[in-house]
Amino acid sequence: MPGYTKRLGRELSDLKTNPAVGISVFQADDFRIWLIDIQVMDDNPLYVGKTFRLQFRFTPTYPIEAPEVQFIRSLGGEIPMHPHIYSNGHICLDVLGSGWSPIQTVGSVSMSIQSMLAGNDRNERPPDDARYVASAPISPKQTRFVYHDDNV
Amino acid sequence: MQPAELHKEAGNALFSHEDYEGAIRYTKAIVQDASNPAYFTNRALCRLRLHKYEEALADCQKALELTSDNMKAHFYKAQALLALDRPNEALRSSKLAYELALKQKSPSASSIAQTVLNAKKRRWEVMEHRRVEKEGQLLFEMKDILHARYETKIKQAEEDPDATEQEKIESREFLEYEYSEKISQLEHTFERSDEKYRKREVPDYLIDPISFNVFYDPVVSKSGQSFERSVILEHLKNHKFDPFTREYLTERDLRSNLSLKAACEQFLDENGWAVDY
Repeated sequence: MPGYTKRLGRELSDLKTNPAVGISVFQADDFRIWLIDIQVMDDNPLYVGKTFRLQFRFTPTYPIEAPEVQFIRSLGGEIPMHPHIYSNGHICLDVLGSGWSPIQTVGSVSMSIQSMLAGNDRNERPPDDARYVASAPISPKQTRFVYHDDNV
Repeated sequence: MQPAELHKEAGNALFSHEDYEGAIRYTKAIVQDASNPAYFTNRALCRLRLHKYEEALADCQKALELTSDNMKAHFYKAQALLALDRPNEALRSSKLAYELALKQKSPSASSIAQTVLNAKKRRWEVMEHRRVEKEGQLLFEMKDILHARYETKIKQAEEDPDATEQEKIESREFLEYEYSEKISQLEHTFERSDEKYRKREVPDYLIDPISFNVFYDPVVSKSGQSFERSVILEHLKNHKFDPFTREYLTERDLRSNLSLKAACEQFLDENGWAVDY
């Protein structure tokens, strides 16, 4: 979509001036790749005191097409434990795939992921983690995730 | 293949490698066949890239003489006019280009809509500049008049044969106070009228929820949500659902939101800065 840079520019200004609690821009020097840091604000023992890093990759068709989003290991950081988050950082979440809508933003996606973490108490990886990570595509967008239960 | 077409093919190849000077081989095509408007619009585009706006404009005019409803010609003409700082004309041409793009279902529609917005912004800037200048001159003149009156009154007070020295001093002090009060009131009034034009927030309801631009041609879907036409069409090409409710949605379900369109036009007329807020 022509003008996707305009939309991203506005999203960035907004993220910087009205940051949601626990969400901050770590790095956004271009309109291709942004790094967003997430913290879970309540006292969830799985994540308290930790900061996780999300990598957003955009294409010229953003926001008509979803960005590619995954967790990455920052210096000393880790991939959060969650039954829908693979150890390579790929996330099984509908809003990132078939549930994407062009009115979503980096902010709204970050908040969805943040609440996905906040509502979780299972300290585990997806059951097929080892198999998935061994054969996963580089980009999670190429994976056809099946979105399981909505309990987590 | 005709020699003219051969030149055009060669020109296209050079253009895609960003060799715009070389692509002016279109000139040779035109010499062979001056009745094909595409040769002129192709060359106009090269000239736009080379910042040769007067020449690009001339090529667009020639193309329009051949076919008056040539979308590319109107679009490139608008871009050239904007670069030449003729925003009113640019606005007219870009609006024409937009209507043609919709009719032809061209993917350039959203770029053209952006050019319309840019032209509106530039037009507003020019009017703003004139307004501020005129106001500045008016303020200066009013201050001059007040000062002249003050001087006259001071002189009268000085030359009053019936006043004592003490009374004269008091008069003068009062006149000074009155004069400075009036000046400050005058400046305050001008400032207040200026605040109307100072940058505020753009209201959410005037903004397309997908591109985040101020609306130019809003349409409303079955759910009652409004979108910029060219942008929602882009979405519906491969995703036939309402971005808000996810219910099934196609182009046929869209209706113009005329009152929103009018509201945006008026808002942009007074707040051209909002195009790039």
